[in-house]
Amino acid sequence: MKLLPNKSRAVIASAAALVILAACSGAPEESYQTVTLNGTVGMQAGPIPEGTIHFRLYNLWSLEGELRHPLGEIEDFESDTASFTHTFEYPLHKGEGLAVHAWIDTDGDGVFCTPDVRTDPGGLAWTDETPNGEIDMAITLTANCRNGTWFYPPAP
Amino acid sequence: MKNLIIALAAALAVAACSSEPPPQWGIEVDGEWLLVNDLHTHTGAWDMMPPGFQNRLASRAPDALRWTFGPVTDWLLSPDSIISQLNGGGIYGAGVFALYSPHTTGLAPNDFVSERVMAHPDRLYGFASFRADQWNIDSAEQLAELERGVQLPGMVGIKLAHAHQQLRLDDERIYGVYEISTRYGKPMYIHTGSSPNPGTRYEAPYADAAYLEDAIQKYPQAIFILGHTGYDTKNKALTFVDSAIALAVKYDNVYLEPGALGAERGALVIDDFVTRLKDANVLHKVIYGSDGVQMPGYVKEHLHNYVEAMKRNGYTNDEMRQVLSENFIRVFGGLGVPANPIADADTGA
Repeated sequence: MKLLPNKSRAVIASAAALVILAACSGAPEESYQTVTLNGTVGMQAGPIPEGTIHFRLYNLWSLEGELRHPLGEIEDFESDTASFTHTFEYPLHKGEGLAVHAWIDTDGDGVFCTPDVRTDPGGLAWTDETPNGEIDMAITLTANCRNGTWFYPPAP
Repeated sequence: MKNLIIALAAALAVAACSSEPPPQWGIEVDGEWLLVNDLHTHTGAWDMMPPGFQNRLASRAPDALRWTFGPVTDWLLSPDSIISQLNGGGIYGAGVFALYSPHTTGLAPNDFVSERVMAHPDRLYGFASFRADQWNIDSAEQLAELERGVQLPGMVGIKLAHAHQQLRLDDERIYGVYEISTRYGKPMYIHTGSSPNPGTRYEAPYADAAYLEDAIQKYPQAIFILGHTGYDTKNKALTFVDSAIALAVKYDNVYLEPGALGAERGALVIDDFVTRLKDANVLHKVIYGSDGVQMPGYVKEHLHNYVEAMKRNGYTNDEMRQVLSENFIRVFGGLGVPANPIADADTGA
């Protein structure tokens, strides 16, 4: 059953849009603070293998209510050395805490393990504290081919 | 008062955009009507979406109207709107997905989806899902919820989106999901390829279906429908398509879905895509889906573009019929067949 002719539909849709425009409020403000991360990467045992080290930074926890979740991505970066310094803008409006995932591209293929080659080690370090200024973190690589959600939150 | 105004405006919008079922279900190709089911549509609610995804949706509107997108989105994703969009394209039935992706697209819980598909149980078919972001501490609870979810009214399958749920495709911690799929005979729709949605993981371990091969081998009675067939929509490229097709060739329990290839973003690659499927002789395993409803008219336009691509690239009507409805009906045990191919204007079925 056609309820209304096309012209009337357009009028109603336009009126509805204007009513809603007037009724709704603004978006939350974004807020950042500059953080310098001084880090080291090591193996659980033995020397660290050669290869580019890939990092991903996260808010340890993000958002509120039902949408609250661990490991909200901030940004990625790389280092060719196990000791590194990286400065970034921490998004205060997205959550709190800090987690750093690292993995080493031991075979140089640019991929964090393939279905057949499972030699790239990974690990995650985290702090409940929201960083402010400089922060030091040590990341120990404990498992091959594992992403951040494999490590955090840890099993009880 | 504000909520009342918004509700009134949304109700007016629903009424204004309702449509009747078409005179004939399907799409006409060379004088023959081909029935169509759309495996892949979404429901949801604005308040259950994270800010990044809300911003992406709202960016489709002119700046002055972005604030309208909450109630407009709620209307677009309502069951009556989905039915209206399907009617507009001549599409009979559609899968509707539950979501638990707080990092990316938000939440559409199992009960929410079940209630919505039961508004039109002959034409909307629900897919249950589970929350994975705290899997190390609540996996037993989440598996129990999935098991409950697949038994809710109107639920016919399981939806996974590893890239949205921050799970690698080779993460064996969730093999219990595949076991539930097997035990309840509920096919799984699994997102592969990339996605333009903020927060989505787009690296190969989350996008390349080759990382699923171990699970496909271990659960031969579970049906794995590889969503988007590995289409790399972020880069508008067929980056992971061949490995998805290879799995469908190799394993009886693997199917493919072309969602979003018929969208505007897919225009440059759709001919190559449909040709690869035809050349690989896997058309008996392709189940049409759009990734709608997105915007008014999207599911109709996606279908039109996909059918035109099939026609341009030498598909026969029999091959198109397989893709558009027959494979869906076979995999889902007879769902998606209208009682009468001539639509009933009184019931919408």
